[in-house]
Amino acid sequence: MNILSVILAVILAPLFLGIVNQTKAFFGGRRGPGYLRLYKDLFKLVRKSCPRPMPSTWIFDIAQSVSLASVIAASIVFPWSGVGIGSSIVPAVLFFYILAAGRFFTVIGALDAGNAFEGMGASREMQFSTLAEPIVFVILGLLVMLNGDVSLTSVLAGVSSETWRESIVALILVFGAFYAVFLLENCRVPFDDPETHLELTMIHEAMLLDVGGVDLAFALYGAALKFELLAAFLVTMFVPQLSNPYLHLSVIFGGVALISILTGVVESIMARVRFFKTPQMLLGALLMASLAVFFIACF
Amino acid sequence: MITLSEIALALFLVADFILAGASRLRSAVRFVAMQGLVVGILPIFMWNWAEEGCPGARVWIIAFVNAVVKGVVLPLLLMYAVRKARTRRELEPIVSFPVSQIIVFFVAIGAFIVGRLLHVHASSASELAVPVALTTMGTGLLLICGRKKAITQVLGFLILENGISVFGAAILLEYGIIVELGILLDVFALVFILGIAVFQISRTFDSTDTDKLNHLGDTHLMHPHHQHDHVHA
Repeated sequence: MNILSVILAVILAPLFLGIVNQTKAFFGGRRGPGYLRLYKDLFKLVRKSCPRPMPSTWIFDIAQSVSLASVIAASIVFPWSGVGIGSSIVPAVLFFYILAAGRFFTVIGALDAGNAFEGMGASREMQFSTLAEPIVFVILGLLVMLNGDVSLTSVLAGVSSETWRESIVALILVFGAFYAVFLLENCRVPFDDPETHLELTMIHEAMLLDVGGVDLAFALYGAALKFELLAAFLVTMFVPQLSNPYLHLSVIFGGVALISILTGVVESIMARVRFFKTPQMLLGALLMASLAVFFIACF
Repeated sequence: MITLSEIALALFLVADFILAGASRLRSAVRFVAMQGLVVGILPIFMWNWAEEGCPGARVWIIAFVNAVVKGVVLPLLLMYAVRKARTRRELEPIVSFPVSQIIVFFVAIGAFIVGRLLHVHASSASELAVPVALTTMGTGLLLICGRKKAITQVLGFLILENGISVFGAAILLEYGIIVELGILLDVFALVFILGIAVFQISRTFDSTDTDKLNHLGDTHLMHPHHQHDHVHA
């Protein structure tokens, strides 16, 4: 069941980005590229060869593969159906550090390409993810406080109905703060625009300018899987653990689909904020998360 | 319905944070409108449905009037003023936006501690109402003191008033609703006058920056277009 659910998650990942895009198309009055667009793109890309910029070294070659591998590793330990493979011994912090290792390789791959735009994108990516880290830690601290243990399973054991009743405000604040981190980590509006075509305004996309072929397929697929993984983290944080693993799995995927729709709606109604505003928005998210900790600790 | 009112109050708190950091006047007006709608509906959420049954017509009418005036009429008026005054955003606030958010954070923590000490919640519908009301009042005061544009200061006044309304809704005063309506009339008149005033000021001078209005002494009356060295919208 554990292995099956991981395989299902790995297969379904591109579908959720399709849901985001279809939601945006619906708001924009377009017909949209279809739910399966990313599958077709990936199929097209894996048949191509990888071009490589002149000054790059072997780091550029392995960067995308390693970062995809780290996202897959994180999704293997994630408890999709209530209990995951080894998720009871993996600390939640390690889960985020596996993802951070993937980002590290994307960044050094971008620096290795020797393109000024890629260097700029790498610098911005690291700056903003550094600012997102305290929010993740505050929320993890809160979850450890609620559930009593640092392992991924118990951190994600879900919020009991008693906590729901007593501190719903804190939970709403935590949801808002983690959703901000989710949007930032997945490079969505309002922090980054995945559809921008101007190099100067890119953050994540700028790091992939020289990547092509199979490596680009890895990068796109890794982004889709990370989207699904963090959305599932957000859902699992709040949904109490269900005894039936199939039910639990379908609840999580339903929640991820809802989050995809929510993301599509947010991208349709919001403009992207200016770069200088991003740290301020993250500060707001950090303050909301800290306020939630204060509520739960003192009330 | 207690849970619904708590969700509404949580949205209120989040709106306070956003308003403390909002520089675009139009989005700030939208969030004030959202707060106004919530303030209008809040008494219905806080009504003790299980014991008292469906609230009477008086409660419904007053909720409706409150929601329409604070959530629709006043924001539309302010939007009109923003459009006419051609001020799109608050540029150089006295208290910068991140600092304002941090101040609101500490005000919120203080408000929760004070709210616990006050023991008001014994008679109130929700434990959260008093702290959220105090936080909202703090945010309103911060916007009045820490911003330069006249429209933002009017917004601060509206937020302050929203906080007072939440306080009134929280402690469920017997005649609170009538007092509320009186306050609502005052606020309506004030925002109406200020909206027109901002429009007139911006038509006469090229900025609605209140700092510059302070300079309007007798010596400056000769030169209403007196230029200052800092940038204005």
